[in-house]
Amino acid sequence: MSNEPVAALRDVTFAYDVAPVLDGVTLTIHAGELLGVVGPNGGGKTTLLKLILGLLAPARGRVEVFGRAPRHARHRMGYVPQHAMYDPRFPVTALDVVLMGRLALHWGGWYSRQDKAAALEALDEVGLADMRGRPFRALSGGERQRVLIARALVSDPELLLLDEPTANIDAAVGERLLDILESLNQRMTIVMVSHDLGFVSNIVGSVACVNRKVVIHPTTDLTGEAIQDLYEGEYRLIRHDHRCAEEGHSHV
Amino acid sequence: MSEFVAALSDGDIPFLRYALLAGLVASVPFGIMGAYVTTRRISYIAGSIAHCALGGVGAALYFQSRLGLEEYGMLPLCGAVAQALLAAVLIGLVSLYGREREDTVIGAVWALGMAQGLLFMAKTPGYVDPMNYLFGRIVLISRQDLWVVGILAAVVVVLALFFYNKLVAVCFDDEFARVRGVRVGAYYLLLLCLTAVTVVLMMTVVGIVLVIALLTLPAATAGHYSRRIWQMMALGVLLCMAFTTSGMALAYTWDFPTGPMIVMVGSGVYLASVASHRWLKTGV
Repeated sequence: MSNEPVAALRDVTFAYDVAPVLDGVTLTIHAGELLGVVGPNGGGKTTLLKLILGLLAPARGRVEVFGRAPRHARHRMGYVPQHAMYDPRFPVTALDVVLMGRLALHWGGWYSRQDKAAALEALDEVGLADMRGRPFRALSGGERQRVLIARALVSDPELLLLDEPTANIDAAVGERLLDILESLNQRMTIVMVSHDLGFVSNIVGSVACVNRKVVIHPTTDLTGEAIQDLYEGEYRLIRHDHRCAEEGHSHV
Repeated sequence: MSEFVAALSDGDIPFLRYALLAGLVASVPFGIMGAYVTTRRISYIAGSIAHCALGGVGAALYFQSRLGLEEYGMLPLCGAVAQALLAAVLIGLVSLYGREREDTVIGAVWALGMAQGLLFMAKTPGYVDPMNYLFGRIVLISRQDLWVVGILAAVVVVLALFFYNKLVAVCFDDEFARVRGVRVGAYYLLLLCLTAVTVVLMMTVVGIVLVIALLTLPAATAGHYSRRIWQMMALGVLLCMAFTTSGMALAYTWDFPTGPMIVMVGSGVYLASVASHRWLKTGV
């Protein structure tokens, strides 16, 4: 891989309304990195991901992915959103969902045999090849999350972005997910949002704390005091996160 | 029931055959679009578009009479299609780009179209009964209408199936589809336009007030027994055909208005399906 950063935000400001959610954020993501993004609820974690994906445009500053505007780099990114689906009873199978990751390759028409082969391979990679024909709605939270990861993988991304992949699933399943992500990190750059600092610090190389500003810390530096600094002394939020970790990620 | 079968072959009442045929043909786009509309949860938008279409009917009746175009019996239907498409594009653009509250606009379009229709009808020479279009009146179905229904149904079905993968993805998770480079806005507008054309196709059979039931009930019932969208579509088409045909037969046999009877049959089957589905799952 070249030395060109995978994604770069320069002095980015974004506001949904008047008050900025992100203010003057500068962040560089390097190839091969596994970056954890943590921070309090409403701190701008998901907004940061959506800026990188080009789903949102910054009010000020620049976002570049693979040296281009995010819109034009989407085919090299994979995305695992926190909430998919409008309808909880949507009739699709696990394989149907994964195939949606191949959409861009078609103008209209139907999925090809190669698409189906790639989708099965991606399901296999997350350990769900047997579940291909199962209705998505009948899967457990952890299985659904893995199907969504497979959907992101099926387009062979170089940058994988995940939004709260461990929310709403129990600790054992969470461990399994982290194993999968660690092995994927061998071949792609990964950015993972989590509200759960203790959890991500086990596998990520560095942590970006997002709370209107972004501060990067290598995980080795994450002592109690550093955590306190990250949250600018907001103890309540830190305690909340730790409680979540012990009880197995009840998402509030 | 045998009276109904006998009446179908009666040369003096061709409208019954036309109505049956229109119902069967329109059932195909209704079953297919019903699956998209219910899973994307936009049945209230479909309802608004259907009601708004009355404005197009009124305008068509007025100009038909003023310009002496009485021999073109399909004009009210064409007016409804045009107005429904306009409403669909308007609601679509507002929900994609507008800063107004979406539900406010949907409600306004709903009422505005009906008001427009009633005003036009009031100034149309001769007596025009809005009830014919609100609740359906199969006597009004002409041969020309049948052609229009057939052609439009074919267009909807071809587009809805050709873009199947894209439309399913937009219904399932449009944000992800956008990340994959799909032009989500364009497909959402396509979805609304196809819905707009579809709801109008049953206008003369069940009426524009009741038509929403025929769009959602077959799809919702089919959803109980389907693992994939295309199964929901196929079953929805069959159910829609069954509802319209049996509703028409019952209405003829017992001398009831057709539209309400069709909706009653559909609602009954849906409720029975909900109940049996619950019973199978929970035993309660």
